[in-house]
Amino acid sequence: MSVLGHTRLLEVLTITEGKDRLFITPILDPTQIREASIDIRLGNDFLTIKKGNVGVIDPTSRESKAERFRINHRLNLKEKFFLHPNEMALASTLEYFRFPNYLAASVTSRSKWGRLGLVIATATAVHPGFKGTITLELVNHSNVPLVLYPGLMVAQIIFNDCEGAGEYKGKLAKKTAAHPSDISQDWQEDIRFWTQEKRIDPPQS
Amino acid sequence: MSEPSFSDVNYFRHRAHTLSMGFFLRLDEYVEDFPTGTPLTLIELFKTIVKEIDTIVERTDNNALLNRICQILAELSAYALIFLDNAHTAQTPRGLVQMLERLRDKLYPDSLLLVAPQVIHNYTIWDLLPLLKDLTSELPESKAWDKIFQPFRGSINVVCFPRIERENILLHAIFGHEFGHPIADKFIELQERSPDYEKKLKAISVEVQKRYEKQLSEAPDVMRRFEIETKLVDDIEEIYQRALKELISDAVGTFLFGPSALFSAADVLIPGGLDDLPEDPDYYPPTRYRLRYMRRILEDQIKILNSIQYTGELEPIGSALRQFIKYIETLTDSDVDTTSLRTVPFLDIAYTWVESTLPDALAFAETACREICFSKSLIESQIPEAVSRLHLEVPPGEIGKFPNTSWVDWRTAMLAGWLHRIYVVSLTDKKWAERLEMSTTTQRLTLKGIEDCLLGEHYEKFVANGRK
Repeated sequence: MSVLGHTRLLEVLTITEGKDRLFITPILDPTQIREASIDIRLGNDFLTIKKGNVGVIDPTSRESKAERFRINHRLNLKEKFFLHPNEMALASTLEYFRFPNYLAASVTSRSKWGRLGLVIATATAVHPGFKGTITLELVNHSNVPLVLYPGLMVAQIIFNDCEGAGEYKGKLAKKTAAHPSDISQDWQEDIRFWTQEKRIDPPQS
Repeated sequence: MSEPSFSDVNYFRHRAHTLSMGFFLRLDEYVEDFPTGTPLTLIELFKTIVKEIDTIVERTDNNALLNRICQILAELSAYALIFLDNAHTAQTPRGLVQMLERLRDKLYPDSLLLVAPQVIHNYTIWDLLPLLKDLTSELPESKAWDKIFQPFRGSINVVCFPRIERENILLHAIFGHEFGHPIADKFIELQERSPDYEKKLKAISVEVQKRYEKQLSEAPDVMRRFEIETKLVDDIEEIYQRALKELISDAVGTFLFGPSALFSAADVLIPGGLDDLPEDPDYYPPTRYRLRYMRRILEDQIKILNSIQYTGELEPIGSALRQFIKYIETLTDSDVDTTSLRTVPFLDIAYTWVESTLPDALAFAETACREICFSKSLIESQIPEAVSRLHLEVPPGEIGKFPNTSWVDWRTAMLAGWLHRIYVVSLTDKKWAERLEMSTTTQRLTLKGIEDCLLGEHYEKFVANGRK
């Protein structure tokens, strides 16, 4: 499973056959293509979770009113987003990706931002065949608020070859904005085994 | 303890202050994200107006004025809040506002633009500034008002779309028609001022006397005959002007958006009926008439669109498009509407007048839109690849291969969205829920494509200017 270097990145971005090409749009600056990664930018949409009238997020609860505990921030060009110490926010990449079936990737923070305490948290593996903007989980581990703007290159994506994969068809595909977790909808069939809770079904209409 | 002393002046002064305080507090509550600065500018304008009204309330002892101020505050707050309530980005897509601002910059450069959803299923545009000036003209201190409104040299255009169509970026090509209304109004105003207009009305009057001879001769007296004749001429004039307003606006839509204007007009208008004759009070032209007119203007572009050869996996897209265009052509080839118009004398007179005016109207509209017309050359050069990208589920904002990509015209992105939607809807072997999901994805990607190409052009200018 080799990481794609600069030359190979250019190759996969320029394959003639669309189905086999890696699409990343927009790449505003060609220097975003680095030695073995591509720098990616923040998009315009940020999601934060508010405290208040939600006691706990419990995967056994099928209540789907996730909107109650999240705030959507939709920023224009040059507008600020403040990420406070120890706060987590979801952000979308500006770039939209279409992965061919032979490539996978992972997303990490760029070290300049990492050293300021901005971390791209977990769950940043991108599957072969994925299409959409990527939702980044941003956490501020520093002691001071960080000011973020749409377009800042806070993350980098590292590609690797992948054999034997099919197209990603999950719920996070083809999004164009930051997408929250609908953990209560992600019902595992064996949830009862793990939680000892009764399954709470939504009311029948 | 002070002794209470009632006076109606103080009582209604307090009432006016209560209204202005409530209005001010509501304006202060707008903390959401707005897609542009215009809502914030308007919030500040309304706050300034309220503060000025407060000083008048404090100074006056005129009870009639205080009562009128209460009414004005109620009316002003309704206008402010009804639009500002939903002008934030959650309800008004950023890409939509950006594309409308592009049009505004070329067509109405000194004007402000506020875009907001509305409850009724209609697209509308109107200028808020005359209304604000009208309401405040009743108040004293005209110099203060002149100063407040002085920065607003153009119009404050409030552009509304049906709230349930928020995600339907493709349908928003209808805004081309809405942007056409001020152009249509200008044309009619120029017409009315021309000496030929009065001559034409006299000729209409003669025609009415001829065509309605029997009815007029049966009038009980001269006064009644005069009333009937005048009403007919007035109605004909109104029908004529309404037809011109709609047709010129439709023409502007086609100049600005190309075939997307026709497709969106078909979506909106066809369900309401094709051949309804113009009726009091609105006198809208028959839908079929309007679609035929738009089709004629777009003849070259439709021909080019239809001639694109799609190959391989894209072939069904070309096939679906050809079938859809055939549907529009068959629909507009029929002359059911014009035949019906001719059978009603006053409608016949009005539409004969309309048709004699249309060439000048079209030329006027084309000149007004000259700087921002959608070019037919883009159909051949950009559409095939934009559609191909959509088919791969990639936003259609650029074409080419990295690093030699180029941004498409945002109208191309929209047209590509239309072509893909027409194809998706034609996949009758798929369940409707699946087709709906596919067309929702098409809409979402089209909006992203529009946002990207507008951003990309802006960024390119920044780089070309030395990154300053």
